[in-house]
Amino acid sequence: MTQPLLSVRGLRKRFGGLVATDNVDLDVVEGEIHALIGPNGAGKTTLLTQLFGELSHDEGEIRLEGEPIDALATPQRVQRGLARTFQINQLLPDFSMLDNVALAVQARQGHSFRFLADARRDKGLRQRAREHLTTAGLAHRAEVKVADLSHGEQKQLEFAIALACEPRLLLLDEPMAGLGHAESEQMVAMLSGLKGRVTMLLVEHDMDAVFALADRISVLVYGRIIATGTAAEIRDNEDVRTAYLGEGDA
Amino acid sequence: MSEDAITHTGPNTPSASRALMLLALALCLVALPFLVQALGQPALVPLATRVLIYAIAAASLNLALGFGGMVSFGHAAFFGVGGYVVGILYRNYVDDSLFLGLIPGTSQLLITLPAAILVGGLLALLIGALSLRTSGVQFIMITLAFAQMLFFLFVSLKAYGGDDGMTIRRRNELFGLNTRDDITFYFICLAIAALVFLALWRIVGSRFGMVLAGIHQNERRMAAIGIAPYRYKLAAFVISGMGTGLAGALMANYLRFVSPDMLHWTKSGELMIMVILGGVGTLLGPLFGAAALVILETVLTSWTEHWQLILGPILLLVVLFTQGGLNGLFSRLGLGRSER
Repeated sequence: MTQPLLSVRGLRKRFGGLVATDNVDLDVVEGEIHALIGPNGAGKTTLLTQLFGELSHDEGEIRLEGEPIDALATPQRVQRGLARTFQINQLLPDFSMLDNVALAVQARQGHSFRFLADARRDKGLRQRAREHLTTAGLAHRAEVKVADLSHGEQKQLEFAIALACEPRLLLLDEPMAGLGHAESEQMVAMLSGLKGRVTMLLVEHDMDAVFALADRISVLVYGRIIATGTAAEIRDNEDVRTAYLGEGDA
Repeated sequence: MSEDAITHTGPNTPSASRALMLLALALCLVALPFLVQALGQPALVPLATRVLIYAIAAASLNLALGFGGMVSFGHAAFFGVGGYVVGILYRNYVDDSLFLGLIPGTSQLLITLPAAILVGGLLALLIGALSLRTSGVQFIMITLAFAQMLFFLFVSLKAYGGDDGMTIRRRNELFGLNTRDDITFYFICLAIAALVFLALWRIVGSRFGMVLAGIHQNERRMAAIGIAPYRYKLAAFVISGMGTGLAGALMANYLRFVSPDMLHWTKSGELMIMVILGGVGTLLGPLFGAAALVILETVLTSWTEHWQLILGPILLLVVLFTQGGLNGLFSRLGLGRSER
């Protein structure tokens, strides 16, 4: 087998008496959509946050393309090819959609110690940013200030910004949460459109979306991965049924 | 081309009314010395000079405070040290001695101003590198502490007048101009202020400025697109210190005197008040704020020595009701708007 894009071995994190991440092993291979599901409080977001370097892990190892990235801070991990979307939107509220995306494009182009040229008149930046907005289906709202957007639009913008980082691996934290039915379908269409081009680790509660999109699924319960497999394998897995699907959380 | 049109309609377009307002402002500032002369109020020229110098300092502070979200309560340090650069170099020039046995003195504005900018920047690099590891209230307190340390350092430096400060017999020279003349010195300050505001305008709209504003709005988001905030905040803090040091050097020339008063924490407070009065995070706000505070102080002190008793409520009203300081007020009165 070829080397996985992301490889996690023996990852542990505890908060006092609570074990949030319990000896997690996880491989994400190039090109796949790998879903991470589990009941509320299973530690899915905590795991993503550790992969992204916003939270340090206690033990274990995270490798991206075979290189350990444990010691890297979040910005450096982004430069190595990670990007994430947030469940609770993290946007720049005073800026327009276009500004938000253009800034990510700008960050991708290297340092920003450029003091004189007007960044909002930089055609290269604006053009790239517009393309990403178009991919996310937001082009018609480009000039709208983020604070004036609907929750669904902000969610889509999160996604457009992450795309602008041109990631090798995209960590998606509940991209459908809080979306209406139509918006959800749009998001699913968008993700499947990118399938194969961008590798994704998808945390999601919407089971229809997960089964429609994911090549492989890992099930996280109480910080521990109890099963990994294809959609069919996961559906038929006894442990998963009792621990998760049986609890009726989906 | 249509791409361009779409990109630049919206709130970022410098509107025609804004350009007109700037032009009017520039004309007023250029005509001011002649107007007040004609009105028989020549004493207003030094007053306007003070406004310009404080505007440079407040605008510099605003880069850190308003655009970068770094609430520094220690900018008097850069202001005062800028002043002392002029004072000390002048002392060495008069005595024909070397500062620290190395640096000869000078009375040339073309040397003292860059020196003050350099020293202000280096000091900001030092203070910022340490202070920016904190944020919020801790940052305010640490910057205050550094400024107070410098204040007490200069109070105890008897060689440079200690508590009493030092007089500078003559203003620095520039191209053989008569800098002693109030109107000449006003125009020197006006030219420098124009350059400073121009530079700040470019910086705020640049890639660097966008990153700075982004950091102000959401540091976590900036990290998530691959930008480590610290270096950018430090760079903004250093630029801010450079501008404030420059203002301090002009003030020392203006007063022909420099003392620890320029380093006192109340001076940091005054600069902050100017920024808040004028409009936090706006380009022209600090100019309006500096004008308002200097003029209020002058008018109110002629009535009563307890002038701050009146200033307080005025500041309160501005903060509570203008939404964005005087700059915000003016823009709502239809005088055009200053870009955020």
